[in-house]
Amino acid sequence: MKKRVVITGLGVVSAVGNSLPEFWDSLVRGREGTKEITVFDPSAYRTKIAAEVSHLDLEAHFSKKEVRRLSRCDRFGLIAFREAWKSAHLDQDSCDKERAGVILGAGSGGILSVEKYFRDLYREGKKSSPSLLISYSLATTTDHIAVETGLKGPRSTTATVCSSSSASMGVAYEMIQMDLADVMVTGGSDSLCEVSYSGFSSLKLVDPESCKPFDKRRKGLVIGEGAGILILEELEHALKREAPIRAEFLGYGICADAYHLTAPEPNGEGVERVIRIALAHAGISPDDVDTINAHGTATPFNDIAETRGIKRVFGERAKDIPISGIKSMIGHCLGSAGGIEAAATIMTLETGIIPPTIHYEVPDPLCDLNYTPNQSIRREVRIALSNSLAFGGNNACLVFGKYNPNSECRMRNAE
Amino acid sequence: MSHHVVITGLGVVSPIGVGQEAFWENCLRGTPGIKPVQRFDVSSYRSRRGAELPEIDFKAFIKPANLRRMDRIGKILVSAVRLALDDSGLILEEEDSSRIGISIGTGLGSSDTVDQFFRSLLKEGPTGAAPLLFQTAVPNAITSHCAIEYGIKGVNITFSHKESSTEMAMAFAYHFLTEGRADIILAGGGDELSEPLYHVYSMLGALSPGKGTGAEGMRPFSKDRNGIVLGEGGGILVLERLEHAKKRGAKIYAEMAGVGLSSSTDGLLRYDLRGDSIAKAMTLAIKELGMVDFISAAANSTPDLDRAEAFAIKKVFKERAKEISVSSLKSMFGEFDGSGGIRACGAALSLYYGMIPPTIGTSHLDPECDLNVVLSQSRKTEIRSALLNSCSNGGSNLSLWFKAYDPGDSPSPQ
Repeated sequence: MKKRVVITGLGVVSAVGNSLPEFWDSLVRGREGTKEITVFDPSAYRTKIAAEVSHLDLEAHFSKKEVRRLSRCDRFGLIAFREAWKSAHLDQDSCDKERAGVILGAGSGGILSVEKYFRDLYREGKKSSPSLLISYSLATTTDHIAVETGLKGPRSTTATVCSSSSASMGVAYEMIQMDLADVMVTGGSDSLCEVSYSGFSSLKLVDPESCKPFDKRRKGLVIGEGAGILILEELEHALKREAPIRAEFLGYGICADAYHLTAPEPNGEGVERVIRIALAHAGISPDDVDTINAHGTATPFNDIAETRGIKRVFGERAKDIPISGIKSMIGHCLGSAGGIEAAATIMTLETGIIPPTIHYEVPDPLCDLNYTPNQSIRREVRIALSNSLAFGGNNACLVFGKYNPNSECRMRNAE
Repeated sequence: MSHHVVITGLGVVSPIGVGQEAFWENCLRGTPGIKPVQRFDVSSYRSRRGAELPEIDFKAFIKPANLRRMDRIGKILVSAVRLALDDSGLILEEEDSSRIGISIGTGLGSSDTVDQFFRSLLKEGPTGAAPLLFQTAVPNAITSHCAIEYGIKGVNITFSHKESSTEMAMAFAYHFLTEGRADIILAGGGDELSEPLYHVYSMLGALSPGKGTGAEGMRPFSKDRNGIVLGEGGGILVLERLEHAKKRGAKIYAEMAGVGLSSSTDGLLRYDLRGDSIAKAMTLAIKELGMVDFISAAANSTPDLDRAEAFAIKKVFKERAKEISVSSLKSMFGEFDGSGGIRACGAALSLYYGMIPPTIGTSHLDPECDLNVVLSQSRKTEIRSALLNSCSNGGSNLSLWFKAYDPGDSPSPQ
């Protein structure tokens, strides 16, 4: 018999807010976080903007000594984790730490620190502190969170770039199903770095002005950063300690386009498949889906493929499902996108507010669904999807539902 | 309904052999893969040795059109996948591609490509950044290459968590298959020995020092062990639901029968210092303690890990520990984050042939590591089941449990 898994804690750091309430408030108001980059010198780049995290009061969170040994990615991850852990009341309640684990998604991890080391080495032949190299591994932020809190359950890190922290949630969910944990810290953290920024620029996938998902004028991504951390918990365990239950994790899908290293399969076939797998895993009919938090990167190709995929699943009904492209506000947070966007999706279930796709002015005939343009809307929402469609056709779809104590477990094995 | 999972194909690209037959022959001979590093200049380091792959003609495994888009680690892993698929006898055209998945672990992925990309960025500025380099540099490029090369459309995931990367990939694949959500998952992974990676490990003090003398080496469980020697390579298992394997008359190497995960929190770069978490991982993986005859050890010639693992084995198995053969194959092909794929292939072969390769390089056991370590010569012995341990510095510990496959006693799924 499948265990039911709920979300009991949320924490976010993003360009539009350094805590969950700030973040959500910005989304509801349609406020974006795009700004000129300060994390590195953007003057040589064609585009100089990113959804950069700002006004983060590091001293409020870390001692000077701690700050020195934490990468930017570590800092975001730890701040969001502490918020999530506290919001789940796990700072007060006891839980068996041998059955509490961490599975995070990573993008480039602490590569900013590694860039500094190698920049000094290659440019000046100078050997900077080897402690910068601790961030060479993508495991580091995961390990920091686990070691700080003494979490001794399953631990690992997923690395599928744009869908990393969605995949990490699927894996965390499985750890609970395998009876290896009752509580799993999951989601992801990622920071700006020159390698990612220049990489996406070199592929001509960035918009110099703003992120305009589904808009005809769209030119691509605005790179973002931050952390979105969720606490997944086995339902009985959560009920026993009277934990705050934010939503239910109903199921997920992961699959591959097997098409191209960077471009999505254009007809939405991969998108369709991943949504169908997720719905089947969750035991949910397409008719029950109330809203979709889209991947919506505003690249010319993703938005078309995603639209087509959604139509293939939902048919005529697709036009009635409000879709949110929140990358228009928070940017594409790469390794942390799945986690941050899941947090937004859960807030939608809690509040009945669907955040907008801002910068939406010129409709694209090839993207003709309801993208909740420019203003958030109120809607009764019981089932919500979150899509993350990564580079190389690594697709993930998460299914969240309003927690209903009376409904039985709907899981069934796909055979 | 819990499906049984078996291993029906092995793909190995290793410093001691490309292809599972060559690899296994060298394993049994105890062939040393550790030599002076050739591919780049290590003269400024305290360590000079590594277990590098031989020169490989990747055209033998990968179509030229796809080869052009891959970096070296991509070629290594896609070749391992090709070898595994060939070894399994699977005819992909006859399979539902959405029921075939890929689950890969790599600690540092395209470390060389990222370094090249970064150097070009420093030298030429953003206009010099090469898009083709970047799209290959992301960690999941490898699974994407495999998915595209072989039309694999099912579950597709990449793990990157230091030394436990590939074992996590295999554990996830195993669970997914027990639930019947795929028919086949190609699982495993690897890492390459690149120049920047060697630099990083050296700066972090992980490498056995010795400037290339005999003092520098892999000596798991040995009294005078003093650090790792880096290796490289890729190993892929074809994990398959038993019913599906039987239906196509597949050769079955062994059964994958359990996984255990636990972690320790002794410090950011510390292994499980006491070994309690390693013990826990083993206990969680095994369903029948008395059946374990071989442990493929995580021991990697570091003071902390080898001792902790020895403690853990004794804690779990008590008096029986002396009867269980223990060996660390890392002694032959070095330590690297993605070594678990190759080690798992080794474990499957051990179960299939009833042979255990030696822990070469070790002559005097540390008294604290007083296990039944297979030294100098391979050991022939019946193996009813085997454990593969994996421990990351930072504390993520996994144990995979494999059973000898006996067609006589395979029950239907319950």
